Amino acid sequence: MTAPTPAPLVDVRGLTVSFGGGAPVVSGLDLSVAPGESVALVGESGSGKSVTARALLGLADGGRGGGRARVTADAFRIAGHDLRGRDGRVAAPAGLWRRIRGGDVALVLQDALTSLDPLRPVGREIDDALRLHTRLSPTGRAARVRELLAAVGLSGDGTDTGALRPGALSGGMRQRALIAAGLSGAPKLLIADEPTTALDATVAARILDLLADLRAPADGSPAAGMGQLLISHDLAVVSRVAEKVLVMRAGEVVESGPTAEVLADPQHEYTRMLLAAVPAGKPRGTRLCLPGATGTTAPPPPAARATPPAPAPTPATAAGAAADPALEAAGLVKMFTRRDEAGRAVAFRAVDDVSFSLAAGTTLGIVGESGSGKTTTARMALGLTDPDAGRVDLFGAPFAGDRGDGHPVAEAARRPRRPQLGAVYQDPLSSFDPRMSVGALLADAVSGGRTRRAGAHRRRIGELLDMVGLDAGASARHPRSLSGGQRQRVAIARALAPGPRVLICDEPVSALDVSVQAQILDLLDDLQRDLGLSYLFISHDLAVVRHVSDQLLVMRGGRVVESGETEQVFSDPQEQYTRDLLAASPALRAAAPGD
Amino acid sequence: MKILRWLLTRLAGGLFVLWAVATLVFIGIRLVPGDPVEAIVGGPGSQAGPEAFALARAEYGLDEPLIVQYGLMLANLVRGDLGTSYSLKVPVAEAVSEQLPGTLALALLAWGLAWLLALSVALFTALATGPRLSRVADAAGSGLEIFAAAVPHFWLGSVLVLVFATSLGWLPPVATDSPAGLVLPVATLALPLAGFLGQVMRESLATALASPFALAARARGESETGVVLRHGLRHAALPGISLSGWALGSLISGAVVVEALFARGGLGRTLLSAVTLRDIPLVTGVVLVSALTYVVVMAAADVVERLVDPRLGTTTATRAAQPDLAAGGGRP
Repeated sequence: MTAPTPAPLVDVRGLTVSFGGGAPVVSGLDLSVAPGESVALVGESGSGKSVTARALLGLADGGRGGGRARVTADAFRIAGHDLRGRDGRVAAPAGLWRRIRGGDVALVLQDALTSLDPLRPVGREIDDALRLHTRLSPTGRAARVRELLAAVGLSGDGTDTGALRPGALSGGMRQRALIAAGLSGAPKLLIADEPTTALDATVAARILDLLADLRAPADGSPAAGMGQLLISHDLAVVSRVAEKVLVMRAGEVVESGPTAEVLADPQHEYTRMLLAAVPAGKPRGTRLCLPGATGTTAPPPPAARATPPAPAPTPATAAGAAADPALEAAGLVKMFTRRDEAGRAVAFRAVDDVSFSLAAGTTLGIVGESGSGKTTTARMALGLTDPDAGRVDLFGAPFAGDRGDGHPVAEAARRPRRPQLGAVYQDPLSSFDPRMSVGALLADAVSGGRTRRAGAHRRRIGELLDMVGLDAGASARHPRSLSGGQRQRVAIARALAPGPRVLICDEPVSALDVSVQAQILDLLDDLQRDLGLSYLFISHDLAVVRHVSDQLLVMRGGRVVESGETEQVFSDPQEQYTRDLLAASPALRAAAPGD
Repeated sequence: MKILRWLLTRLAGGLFVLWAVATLVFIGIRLVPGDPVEAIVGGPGSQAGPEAFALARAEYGLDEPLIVQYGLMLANLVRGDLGTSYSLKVPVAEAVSEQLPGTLALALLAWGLAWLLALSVALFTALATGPRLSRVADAAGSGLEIFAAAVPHFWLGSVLVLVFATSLGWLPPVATDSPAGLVLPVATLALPLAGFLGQVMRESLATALASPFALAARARGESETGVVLRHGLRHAALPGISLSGWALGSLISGAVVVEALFARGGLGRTLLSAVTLRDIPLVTGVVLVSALTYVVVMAAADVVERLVDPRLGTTTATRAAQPDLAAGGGRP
């Protein structure tokens, strides 16, 4: 604490938000942000952090259907405006709220894809706050929009980015445009809700740098600096930028303090659980869930050891080098066409000469950013996309692509061997038939599509649910009524149903909160050990891949940039791209407990 | 280059539609019981003798085998010759071009009115904020729309005539050349269409206003009216534009009823009497002109839609090119 603290931008005490008379989703929250300060609000989905951010702008209910959200506080001062009514409710005339929104406080929403109007050029979105909060002439505003685009690094190579619609921009560019739209009203406080969540590591790192740069006042007077409130589920992101951190769970702040202190010496059990769940820097095989930890979602009992019906597990997890390859790919090539600026169809190599070998009982990680060809590689390994060249062998026999005589392996020849290969995807919900219950989904998978009556395979379904740490009652449930982590467990159970020996996991934990991610990674680890499974594990997240993989493949633009033993690649990367990727990957700055 | 290819594709598609329509009409009208020659010799109940019938049949080529008649028709159409009406004894092109402007005026006015009504209801319900008012406005809007969309033209027209012409005497009961005479026919044609359009527009407006980009606009200090007008309106208009082709089809079929009901001349009434009389060239001509209008409107709607929503031009290409983006790349 420095002695002469400038008047805080946010001074909120006892903030409580409830909807429609229900239980509060935020209760008794104290928050203060000083000028030039960066404060992080960390918590998992449903912890109330986004609602808190919106409540600061009087938008707890999304700005429509007013009155259903009840927001009260013991103190509520935003950028010098006292917005607390006599009855304790937070209220202000609509005109005052509108001056604060965008003018004093900017909110940069998560998911830049849906937070920009797809039908409007981004320049118009950036212009909005100028039109509403400044007296600039239209030409003055146009000039300012160009300055703002330059300030967020969107004015390269002479194209007028402001005239483009969001659909023409990449994820990182959209996030930049959204930040520019927030900056245009020259706000004293910038609230960023998950600003890097949907982005690749290198892009996310640049966005975080941008946010940090914005806070450093150009004229050298610290008091002029912009305050920032950063909302994230990711402690690693927070540790990179924020000076102060508040950890939220179920609407309450369980711990707060300077970031370094909280990370180095967490006082609350929940904070410790969050820290332990971060896979960065945890050696292969280490459990990510604390024993006996009681989070909002309790970690499952160790997967019960149901005897796998199918192949006898190979004595695995020893040195994988000696084992026979379970899945082997050689010279895979896939061409796609895309249209260039002139609208001509151009062929490009989505996957270009990719070879790998997955030793039985081990995990091969493929890491790369969007568009690097990793998913196309997975689809070819699964025999879902025909390679234009190259081949895939499963346990030594041709499975996809060239079968050895110049002809591709026919689906009819492949089908009897499909049960040996399972797949788990990022979004389980969209890979489930929305009308089927969990039991029906598993019956369908167990019977190879012959029946969807759960009763016909009750014993096997029970075994599968048990293996993935769900109780038998889940069979009657509907995937929609399950949590994200439970759904991914169902997806894994379904993949295991035919008794596969190889699982292809394509971003299996990318849509999950960090603590749930930890549970799923632990589960996959247990299953590998118990069933002798081999994994092809695809992710854009270096920390996750490092934690799970024995061997690693780094892909970029359809090509394998680097490959080898995971630890060797990480400790001694040979290629510049791998080094960039490593540098960009957020890691906890302070040592986590248990290391 | 791109535009030229688009134009050629459209042109080929349009020609195919016209050919298919001509063929269907050719088959369809021959399935109607009765003898088309009756129309030539003076309509049903004509007193002409068998020689007159035979003469007419030979003159109009109706004694040839069907396949020859079909070939002759196509050959004439390719030359742009729609033939001569059996009943009116004037070239079909002349008869159609005489009736087309009236029907087009009716349809365009009804179209404009339908858009105006649908957008007004959608905007009104969107701007009615507050928990109770918005629910009431929503229920009222949706009830009106469903009712309007459900009523048939002939019933609606009759009721409007009873109320505004017979009882109140404000408007003439039949179509006249004065603007007042257009009000009831246009309203009869427009209301059901407005009901349909209103439903889809209100739906997509509500979706747009509940989306993150609307929240982002509010967080920039935009007023609710500003959010609706600057962000919602385009999203509301999109489905209306996509439905333009369908709307025109419904307006033309509606015009058949409305023109008969209000004793107004036009393509609809011409078509009705031509079908009754089995006046093959006239039926073919009217249907082809309607189909041509439809093809042109569909192409125009396509252009406008792409102008409003540039995503349409690129989606397919992007999807094919970047399969990774859809599945990979982090949290949704």
